[in-house]
Amino acid sequence: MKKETLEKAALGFAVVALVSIGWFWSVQIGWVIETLEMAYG
Amino acid sequence: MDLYPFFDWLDTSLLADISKAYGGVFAVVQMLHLLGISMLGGMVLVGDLRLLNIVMKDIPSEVVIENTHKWFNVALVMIIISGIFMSSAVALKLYYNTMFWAKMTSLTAGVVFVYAVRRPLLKFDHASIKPITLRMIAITSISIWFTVAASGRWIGFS
Repeated sequence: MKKETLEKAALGFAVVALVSIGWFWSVQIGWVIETLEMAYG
Repeated sequence: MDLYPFFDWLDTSLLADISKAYGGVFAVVQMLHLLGISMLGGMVLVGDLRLLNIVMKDIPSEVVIENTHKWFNVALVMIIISGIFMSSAVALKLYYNTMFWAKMTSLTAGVVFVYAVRRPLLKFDHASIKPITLRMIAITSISIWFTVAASGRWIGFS
């Protein structure tokens, strides 16, 4: 595959992956905070 | 696609019999799994931190990437084989565990990223690749494999 195509694919993959990972961990951290609030007020 | 039949079969397979009955075997395989994780994590960090120009600046990044990729392959095979054995002990429990599926999703994304994008692109001369692309590859790679490891650990607490 051409280098330019791979570079575009890499950047596209990177953006999708980083947004998904950011969303995933923000949900998990939110869940932890919610649990701590329920336990300790 | 419902994977329940596969997990149901795995739960009653010979692998499950061994992993449930022999704690010593399970412990050794788990040790190999952890060794594979540490090796894979090490190779990812060395390669990606080199791409970010943080470590081993005196060695060409092509050399670092080429050498770390070989051991990355070994570590990935170790992790997958030992992981299948370990999951056979609690196959049905894992099927209903959200963090297990988060780990499998991120592992699949990581494998696709490494073999379909990162590896083919980094075979080219790194000086000919835009610096922003190299940085994005490194940050994405570290983030994906961090998620694989962290969600894997989270399985034990969920």
